[in-house]
Amino acid sequence: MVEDNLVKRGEATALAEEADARVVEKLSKGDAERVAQRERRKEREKEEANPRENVDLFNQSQQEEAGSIRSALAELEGQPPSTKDEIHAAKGTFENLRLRVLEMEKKAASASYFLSAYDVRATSDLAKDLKAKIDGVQRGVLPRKAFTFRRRRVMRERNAADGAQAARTKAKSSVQEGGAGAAGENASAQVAVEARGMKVEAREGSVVVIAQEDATSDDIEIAGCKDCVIYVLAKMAVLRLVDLTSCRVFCGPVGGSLYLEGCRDSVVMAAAHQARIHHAHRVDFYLRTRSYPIIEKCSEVRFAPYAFSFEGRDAALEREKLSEENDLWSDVKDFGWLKSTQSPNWTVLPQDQRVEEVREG
Amino acid sequence: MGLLTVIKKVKAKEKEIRLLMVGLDNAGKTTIVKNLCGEDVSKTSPTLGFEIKTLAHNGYKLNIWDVGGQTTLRSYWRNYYEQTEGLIWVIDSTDVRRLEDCKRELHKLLVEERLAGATLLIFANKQDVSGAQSQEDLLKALELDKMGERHWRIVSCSGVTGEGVGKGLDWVVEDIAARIYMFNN
Ligand SMILES: Nc1nc2c(ncn2[C@@H]2O[C@H](COP(=O)(O)OP(=O)(O)O)[C@@H](O)[C@H]2O)c(=O)[nH]1
Ligand SMILES: [Mg+2]
Repeated sequence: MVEDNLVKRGEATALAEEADARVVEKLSKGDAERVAQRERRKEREKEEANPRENVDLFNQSQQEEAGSIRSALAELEGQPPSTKDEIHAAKGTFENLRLRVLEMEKKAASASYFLSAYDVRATSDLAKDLKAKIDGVQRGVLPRKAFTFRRRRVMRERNAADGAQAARTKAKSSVQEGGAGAAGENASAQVAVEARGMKVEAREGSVVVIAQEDATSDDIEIAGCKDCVIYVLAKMAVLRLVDLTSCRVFCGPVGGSLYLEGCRDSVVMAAAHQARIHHAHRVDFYLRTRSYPIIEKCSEVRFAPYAFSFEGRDAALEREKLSEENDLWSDVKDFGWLKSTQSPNWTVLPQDQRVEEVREG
Repeated sequence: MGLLTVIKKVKAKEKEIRLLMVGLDNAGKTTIVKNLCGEDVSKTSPTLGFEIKTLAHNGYKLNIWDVGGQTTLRSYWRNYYEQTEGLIWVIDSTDVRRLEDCKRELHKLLVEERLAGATLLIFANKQDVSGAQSQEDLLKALELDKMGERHWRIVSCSGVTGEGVGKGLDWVVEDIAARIYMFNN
């Protein structure tokens, strides 16, 4: 610093010696003008963008929106829907309110560059509070969602499946065993390689049970199924779930990763070292993992703890180092959401909407 | 500082090798790195961004860059190409469904000018799984016949059992060392 000044001063002397006095004067005058100009501009910028003012404005608009959402909820509570049409309309209203909260969160996210950590926190708390209120009021005024499927129902499906054993055997042609018998078209079109793992493909409206004796590999892929109930009880090192629509998939432990690509309107229960979830929409996941689940390009996915029970479950979980319960299922990381606010793409599945334990057998 | 110390220092510094682990997400990159470092591989988290691990190996200091393979992260790979001496491409040998994607990404990497001189090690990972493809079949599918001058090799391995991992690393380090440090040895 001192050296710097010396150098500058040295230059100035040299300049003064060499230069015409008028030039120096002109230069310094120009300099003064530039300084004044800079000052004026600074002043103006300060007026235009007082950060505190922006924050206040932002907070005010968030509070206003929150107030309006709360009064809409109060109205619904005051006049609970009773006819079928009213219930239908109310459902729409609740969805709308959720969208408005989402919008608030989006605004908070895009304003996060001028918000302090405190303000960011406050807005995310506000959103959380509103979401809980919406859930609460909805529970109060709408009939319980007919969603739970308990043992009895599962049993019935099992029986239906057993009754339709013939159908199951017939469909077995699409349970392709690796290597020898598998037809070439089960490999992806461009690559001339046959899948060697076990593949269950293109099922519709059926119950699929992969017990240990059915499994031909510890690498299992279930792909392109619709309206199916699928149980995977065999020992697995690799599990891929691909393109499933309206399915319910219940899996024993995977000693590696659950890789899911493309799934909608479904329920997936699994225990795995990792859960990697891509392109899932409106899917409820019941997970136990050894690392945080990740989602990429998902929306409306919800998470809850693993709740699948089957014979020999504890030993199987133990074998795959998955006997320990933990909270990782709720520590979801959204790869497409790198902001500090909560990702709008996933939520914790509210306790009272969770399915009770599902049993197989 | 004597001249000898100076020389030693330069040499020590030169004996660094930079390796880049790439491949699709879920291939087992982080598992392999953890295995090399002797860590618990059953508790591997999917990689957010990247991680750098430093490892002493046969007298070399390896800086291993482990980057996330999710589609949203692949465009960042190129930020790591500079000064990369070795590429380790990891394949999930069980994932036939994404072999085409794997092939495309690998070929993209191979035409990168900044990686033109890099040694390439391909790990055919997850060989402990019964559904794994053999390295021969993988090679066929990846169509790696136009490799030109590049030093490359494919090695079957399992990041979980550790089989093949050390062998692959030995080869890539030796190859790079022979190329870069032959005057030092
Ligand atoms: N069976 C088996 N599983 C593996 C192997 N390598 C990795 N995995 C599993 O594959 C999943 C993905 O591994 P990870 O290292 O996170 O993949 P990355 O995305 O390439 O870093 C994890 O659940 C690992 O346990 C292997 O050699 N064999
Ligand atoms: Mg990784």
